[in-house]
Amino acid sequence: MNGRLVWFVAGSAAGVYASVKARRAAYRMSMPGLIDQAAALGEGVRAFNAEVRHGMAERTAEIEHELTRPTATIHPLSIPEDHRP
Amino acid sequence: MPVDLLVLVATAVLACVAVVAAVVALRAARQVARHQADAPPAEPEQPLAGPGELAVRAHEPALDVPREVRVVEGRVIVPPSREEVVSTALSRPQVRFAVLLHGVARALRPESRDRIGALVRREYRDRRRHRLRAGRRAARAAHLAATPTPPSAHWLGEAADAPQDRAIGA
Repeated sequence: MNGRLVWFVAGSAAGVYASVKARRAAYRMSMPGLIDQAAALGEGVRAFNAEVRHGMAERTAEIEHELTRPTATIHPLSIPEDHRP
Repeated sequence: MPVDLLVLVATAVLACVAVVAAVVALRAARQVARHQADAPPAEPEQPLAGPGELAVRAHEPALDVPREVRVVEGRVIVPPSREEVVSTALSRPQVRFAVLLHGVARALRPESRDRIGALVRREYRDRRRHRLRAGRRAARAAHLAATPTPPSAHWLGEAADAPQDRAIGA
């Protein structure tokens, strides 16, 4: 009796899971599903572009900072003798 | 036109060009001399740090020096400003390509990749839910429109007519 109940519950869960997955796959293959996937993909492309632009702006700011920062010079006579080449 | 006249005209043109170039060079040289005379004297050299210390001096780059117009071999040389140097450096193809590569590398980092993937999945799920919900709502509305008038309406209609029936019966 107990074993039958377990098999019944397991079979019901597997059936529900399989039906949900099959319904989603069928929707994905249908025209509205394809449209939704295309729209979501476009959203992802826009996010990727925004990320690329953010990285480019960051790198540009770094280069500008490198080009405009004051340069540092090390006087050779101030280096200790044991560290001189 | 005789040849000697052509030679004469060419010589005259060359002489005019030479005179104009000499005037421009003279004016530029006078301007440079005036700038050098107006410039403040150089600051004395600061004493060095102690023998055991590492002296690091930060000074402004040469681009911050007032732009001195120089004449080198008859050509007027104007030092570029800081903005010009930066814009020129950033407009080089190699630098632009490196900047683009940095942006793509940033977008392909694992965290950005995961974020964009989650965004795409969430967007698809939201659109599917919204579409299914709209479909269910439309089906419900169509079902309600297709069903005949509920019995309560009949009953209300009959109730409205009831006093007449009763009056006629009476």
